[in-house]
Amino acid sequence: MNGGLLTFRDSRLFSAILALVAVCGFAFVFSMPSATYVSELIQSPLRRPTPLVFYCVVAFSIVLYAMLRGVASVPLQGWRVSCLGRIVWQVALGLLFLVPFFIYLRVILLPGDRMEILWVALYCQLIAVLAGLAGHWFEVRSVRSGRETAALRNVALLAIFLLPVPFRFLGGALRYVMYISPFSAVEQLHAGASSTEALIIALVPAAAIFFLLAATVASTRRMRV
Amino acid sequence: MKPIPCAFVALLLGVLLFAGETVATPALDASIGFSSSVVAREYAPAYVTLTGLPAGFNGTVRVIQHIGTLSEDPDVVINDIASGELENGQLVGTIPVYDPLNPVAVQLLNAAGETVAQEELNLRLFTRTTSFPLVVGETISLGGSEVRVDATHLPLDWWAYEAIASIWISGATLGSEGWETIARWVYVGGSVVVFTGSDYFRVDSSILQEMFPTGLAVLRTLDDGTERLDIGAPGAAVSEISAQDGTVLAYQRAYGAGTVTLVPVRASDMSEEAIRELGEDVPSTRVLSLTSYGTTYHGSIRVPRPPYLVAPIMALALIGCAALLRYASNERGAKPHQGMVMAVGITIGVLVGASVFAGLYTNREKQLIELYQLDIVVNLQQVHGISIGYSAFFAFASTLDVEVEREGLSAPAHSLLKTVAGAEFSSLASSQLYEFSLQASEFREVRVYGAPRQLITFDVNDAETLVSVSNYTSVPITTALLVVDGMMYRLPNIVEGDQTIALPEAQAVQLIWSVKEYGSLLQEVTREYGVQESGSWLILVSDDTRFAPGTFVPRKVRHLELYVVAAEEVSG
Repeated sequence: MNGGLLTFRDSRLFSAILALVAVCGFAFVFSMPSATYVSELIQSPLRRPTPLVFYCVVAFSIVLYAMLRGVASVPLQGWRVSCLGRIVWQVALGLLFLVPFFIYLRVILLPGDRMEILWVALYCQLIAVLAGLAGHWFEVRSVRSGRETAALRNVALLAIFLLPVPFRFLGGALRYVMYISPFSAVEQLHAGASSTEALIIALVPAAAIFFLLAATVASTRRMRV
Repeated sequence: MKPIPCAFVALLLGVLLFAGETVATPALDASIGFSSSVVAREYAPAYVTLTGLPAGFNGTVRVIQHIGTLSEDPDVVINDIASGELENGQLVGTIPVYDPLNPVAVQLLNAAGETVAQEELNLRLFTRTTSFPLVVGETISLGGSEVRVDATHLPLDWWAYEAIASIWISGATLGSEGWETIARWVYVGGSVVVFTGSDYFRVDSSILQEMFPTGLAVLRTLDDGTERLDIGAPGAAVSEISAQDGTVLAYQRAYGAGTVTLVPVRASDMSEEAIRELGEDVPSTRVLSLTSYGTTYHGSIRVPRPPYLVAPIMALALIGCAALLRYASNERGAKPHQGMVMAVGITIGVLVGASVFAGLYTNREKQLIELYQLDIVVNLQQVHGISIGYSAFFAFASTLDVEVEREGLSAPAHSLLKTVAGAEFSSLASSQLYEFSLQASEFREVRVYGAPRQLITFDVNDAETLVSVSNYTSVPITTALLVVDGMMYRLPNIVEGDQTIALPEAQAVQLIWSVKEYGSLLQEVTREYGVQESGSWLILVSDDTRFAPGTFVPRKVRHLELYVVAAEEVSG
C-alpha cells in the first residue's frame, strides 16, 4: 500500500474487503427466517434463523481480516505510530462495509429497543484492532528472527476462538474464562450481558491491546537504543 | 366477694378485652380443593377465611405454588385471588393446581407487599390422578371415590368444577347462584345427578326446571312408603335409565354439551346397588377442548419474511462500492488526499444508501416477529353465558416477557406437558392480567374460562324474512350465520350496534362446515350445543390477525372469537 494513510490502492486490501463482504453476506442469509408458517418454526429448529450465526462469522472474519492486515503492514514501514493508525483505519474500513448488514439486521430483523447489535459491532471493532496489532506483532517477530510464524499465528487464532468455549460449563468465576473467546462473547452480548459480563467481555481485548502496545513500544525503544 | 377485688377483676377484664381488640392481628385459614381433593393441572376452588383485619385494610390474598423439585430452583406460580380493600370473612377463588406434591402457600399481603399472614397447605395426601364425583348434601356412597361437601361450600366459578366427574345433589338447598353455576358447568359439558323424591321441593328451582323441564311433577307415595316423583310427560329428548329389574332409576337429558340426570326418589330411599347401577349410566364431564384446534390454527399463522435477495444485493452493492473506491484510488494523477476524500464520500454514500434501502422494508409486515400468539374464545350465550378460551404463544428468537389482559376470565392454566424442555412456568396472575416469561423457541398453551356478558341479542320476525341484531362486541365480525330450525342463512357483515337485515336464501346447515378454516371448530361447537337441531341461533365469527400495536415486542396475534347465541325462545 503506497501513498497516504487512507487510500485504497492496495490490491490485497481490496481483495480482503471483497472476501469479508462475501463471507458476511453469506452468513447474513442465516439470519433471515425461512419458514412460511409458525408450525415450521416450531417443528424445525433449523428453520429458526438467528443473528448469532452472522455475529460469529463477523467476529471470526473481521479478526482474520484484521490480523492479515496487521501482517501486511509490517514489511512496508516497520513499527511506527502510524502503523496503529493504519491498522485501525483498515479495520474500520472493513467494518464500515459491514455496517449495512448491521443496519438491516437492526431495523428489519431485530427491531425493538435493542442495543446488543451496537455492543457486538463495537466489540468486533475492539477485537479486530487487537487482531491487527497481534498480526503485526507476530510479523515483526518473524522478520526479526527470520522464522516463519504463520502457523503459530493461525493456531493461536483458533485456540483463542475455541479453547475458552468449554469453560461455559464450569461454575463460579472460572465460567468467565469463556469470554476470552469472541464466539462466547458475541453470544452473550446477543443474549443480553449483565454489566459484569459486559465489563469482562470488553476488558479482555482492551487489556490485551494495552499489553501488546506496551510490549511493542518497549521493543521498538530497545531496537533504537 | 369484696367490692374492691370485684372492681379490680372487672377492670382487668376490661383492659384485657380492650387489649384484645387493639392487638387483633390479621390471620387467615385456607384450604384448596373440594375437601382438599385436587387433580394436578386442573382448576380447584381456593377458600380463604380472613380474620382480624382492621377496617379499610388494603391488601392481596395470594396463592403461591412451586413447580418442580423444591431444592432445585422450582418455578413459582402466583395467583392473586383477591386484591384491594379486604374484609373479614370467607373468600373463594379458583386457581389451576400445578404440582400438588409441593406445599402451597397462601399469603395475606398488605398494601406495601409485606406478608401479614401465611398458611402452608400440604395437598400431597389429597391429590387425585383422575376426576372424581362430588356429593353435595346427604351422604351417597359411590364406591369410595366420591368427595362430599356442604352446599354452602360450592364455588361460584363454573370452571372450579373442572376436576369433577359428576355432581350428585341430594337433600341440599342450593341458592340461585349455586344452581346458576352448576347450570353453566353442565352446559359446558358437566354432568349432574339430582335426587328428588320427598326432597323435590327442596331442590326444585327455576334453573333446575330450565335444565330439566318436567311436566306437571307430582309426588306419589309407594306401597313401601317411599315418595317418588312423577315427572309428568317427559319430552322426546328425555331418556330413562332402568335397573336390571326394569324399575326406572332415573331420567336423563342433554343440556348443552352436558347431561342432567333426575332421580325420582331420595338417595336414602335407594339401595347401594341401585346407586352403583345408576352411576354406570352417568357420563363424566367433558368440557370442549380447544387445544387441537388451537395448535393447528397457531401453526398456520404466516411468518413475515424479508426477501432473501436482500443479502446478495447488499453484498453486491458493497462490492461495487469497494471497486469504485479502488478505481478512485488508482486514478492516474490522483493524490492521496483526493483518494481519502473519495473514500469517505463513497462510504458515507454506501451507508446512507443501505440505510434507505433497509428503511424501504421498515414496515410492520416485514419485521421479524418475536412472538406469535393465537387467541381463541368460544362464547356460548344461551340462558347461561359461558366462555372458553385458549391461547398459544411461540417466542421466536429470544426470551420474552408476555403480558395478557384477562378481564372477566379465569386465572390462566398453563400447559405443562407440551412445552419444550427448559421452559419456565413461573407466572403471575392478578384480576386484570397475567404475565409470564417465554424462553427462546418455547411454545406455550394457556386455557382460560369465563362467563361472558350478554353482548349480542337478535330477533327473527315471524315470517323469517328479517333479523334484528344488536351487536355490542368490539371485535370485527368476519362471518355471520343465522340458523333457524336447521336451515342456515349467511348474513352480510354485522357491524357494531343495532341493525336489521333481510334474510337471504336459506341453505342446508351442513354448509356451515365449509366456512373457512374454522369450519371444523364451528361443526363441533354447533353439534355439542344442539345448534343444528332446533331453535334460532346466531353465529358470529371474528377472525382478526394483526400486528399488536404499542407493544415492546413485535407480536403477531390472531384473534379468533366465536359467538354462538341462542334466541330466547330456545331456552324453553
